[in-house]
Amino acid sequence: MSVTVSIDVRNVSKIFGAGTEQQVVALDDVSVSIAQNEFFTLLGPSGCGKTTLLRLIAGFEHPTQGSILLEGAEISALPPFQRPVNTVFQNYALFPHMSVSQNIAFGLEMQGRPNDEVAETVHNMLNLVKMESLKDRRIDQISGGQQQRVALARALAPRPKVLLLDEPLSALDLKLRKEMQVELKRLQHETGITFIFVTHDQEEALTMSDRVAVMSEGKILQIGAPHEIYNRPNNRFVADFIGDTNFISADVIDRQTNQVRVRLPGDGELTITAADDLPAGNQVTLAIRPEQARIATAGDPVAMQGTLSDEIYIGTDTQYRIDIGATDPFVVRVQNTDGETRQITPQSQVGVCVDPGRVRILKD
Amino acid sequence: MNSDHTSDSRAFESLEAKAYQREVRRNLLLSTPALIVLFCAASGPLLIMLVFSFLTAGDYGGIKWQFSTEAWFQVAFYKDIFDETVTIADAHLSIFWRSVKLSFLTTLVAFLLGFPTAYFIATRPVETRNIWLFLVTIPFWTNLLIRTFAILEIIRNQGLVNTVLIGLGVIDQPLDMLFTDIAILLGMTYVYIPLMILPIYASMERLDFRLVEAAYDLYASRWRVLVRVILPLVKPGVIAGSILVFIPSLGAYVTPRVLGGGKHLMIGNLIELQFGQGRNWPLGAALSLTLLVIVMVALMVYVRSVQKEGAGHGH
Repeated sequence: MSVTVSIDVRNVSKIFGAGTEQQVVALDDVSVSIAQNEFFTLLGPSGCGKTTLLRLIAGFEHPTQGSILLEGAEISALPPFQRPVNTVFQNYALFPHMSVSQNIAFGLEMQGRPNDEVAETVHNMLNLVKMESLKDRRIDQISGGQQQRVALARALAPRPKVLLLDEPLSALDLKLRKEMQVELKRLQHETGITFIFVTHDQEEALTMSDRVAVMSEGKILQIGAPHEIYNRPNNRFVADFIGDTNFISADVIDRQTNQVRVRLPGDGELTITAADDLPAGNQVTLAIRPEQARIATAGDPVAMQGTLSDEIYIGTDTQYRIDIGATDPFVVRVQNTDGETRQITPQSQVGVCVDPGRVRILKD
Repeated sequence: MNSDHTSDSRAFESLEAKAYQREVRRNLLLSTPALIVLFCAASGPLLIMLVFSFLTAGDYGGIKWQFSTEAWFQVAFYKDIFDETVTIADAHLSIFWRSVKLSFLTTLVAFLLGFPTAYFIATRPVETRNIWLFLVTIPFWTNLLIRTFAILEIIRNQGLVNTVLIGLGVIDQPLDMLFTDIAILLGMTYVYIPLMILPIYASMERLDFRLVEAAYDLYASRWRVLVRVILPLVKPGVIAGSILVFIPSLGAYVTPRVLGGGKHLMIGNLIELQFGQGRNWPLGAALSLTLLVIVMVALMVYVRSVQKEGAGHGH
């Protein structure tokens, strides 16, 4: 199966206030290729440049350097109204002086589509987002979740090649947000349009996306499928931003082909698969997910020893916080089976064992 | 026990009624100054005008206490002093027509110039907006008469514009700009344009510019965004601005007097004439009331049409 590129961002930089004293580098030499019909997510904390990248693709901003291609054609100099790209805005930006169906019809009318086609598309869109019964309402007469649906329908109606979504779920409450996550995935599937989704919510990114780009300080740090990003973060920021992670400093004490032996705090040792060239004597950071470690029972190979300082019951799991002599406690998460938890005496000495295959060595 | 209770509540009710009466009386007392001002400044003078318009003109100005509908007749008709043939008062009608026409044009030009200005100010960074607003209001610091004479200096035959144009060789003869309708239009637009800019700016400042972005995103060209999104959303400001410009324009006195040179009268000048040289106070009063009616009708038609359009948009 050949994958056609939808949006191709090539070495794009965006500097606000360039040449002045207060210049801000919002994007720093960013390159990314997004495939057609892909659900692609830009994930990062606020101020990381993800919204700027989205606005560059939409055409509200123009890159200081680099180029943006849509299906092979340069679009970075075009105004927004000449790009077959539509946006769902964070606050929806629905027109308050128009009804629900007038909002949805707007893009089609501006494209100069014939009236009967506009009416038909609006009807289909209303069905698609299940808003048929409220089509004549004013925008201030519908709820936030309904506004969200209208904003989606309005942006999808002109059948853009790419749909941009700027944190569209952030204003919704948790339950509605979960519903909309499923809904968005369904819409993307049904319409076959490339979705570029911006969020700071890692869970949203992991549940919905085909691929995720993690951004920080104007750079893309890692691009990959959700499970890749989660299981094999390639640097400390990504590991920290997505999910919970224990970071442990360790010393490389020996190196063989594709393997390094490291000394853990408390003098335990561990042999890990590592492709990178890491000579003995290097200090490295290990990333271990809480669910990838366990509390040792008799006979287990113990990697680290520590004192159990806290036990936190969170329904599906129990978290054990173990003081291993480092600044932060080491967290182990164990899934609760049969509704019972393993009782461990507080402040007792426990051993932690980790699966060497799941430990990541991070470049800082 | 029970009867005690009812008598108690009855006593309470009467107390409550007394308290209410006392409050009404106190409120009346408190609002007396405002009512006096309202009567002296608005209803009183209007009433006097109404009474005067139904009296007979005095020989040397003033009025004679004698009922007459002559003044109202004279507003629209002219009776020849010799053969008593009745004709329509062309002079009055043309002055009314000129007033309405010039006021409408003033409002239009003020809108066409004021809207972009308001847009410009509203899209500046917050820190510099006040400077621009300040610049818009500066002309108000100078007396209207002086500003009007300044315009006269600029557009008269030996004035700034003609001198420069002749100096540059663009024209040989000075352009006749002074004492024309155009001069009055120019003067009134200059005087009243801040009243258009400020309310439009107030609406524009509250405009959510993300809606503008959304419209651009949905294939609307700049012109379409203006017509379909910005204008409908700042309509309250446009309505307020138009009313604030149109009404004083209709009653303008100084500007047409100075820049119209006594040849191009507007209603304000016509009315003044009746109380001065014309020595026909009842006619002046009747003309004033006619102006009032024109303003009210124009306002009602305008607001009604704008509302209907708005309702059509809102669906």
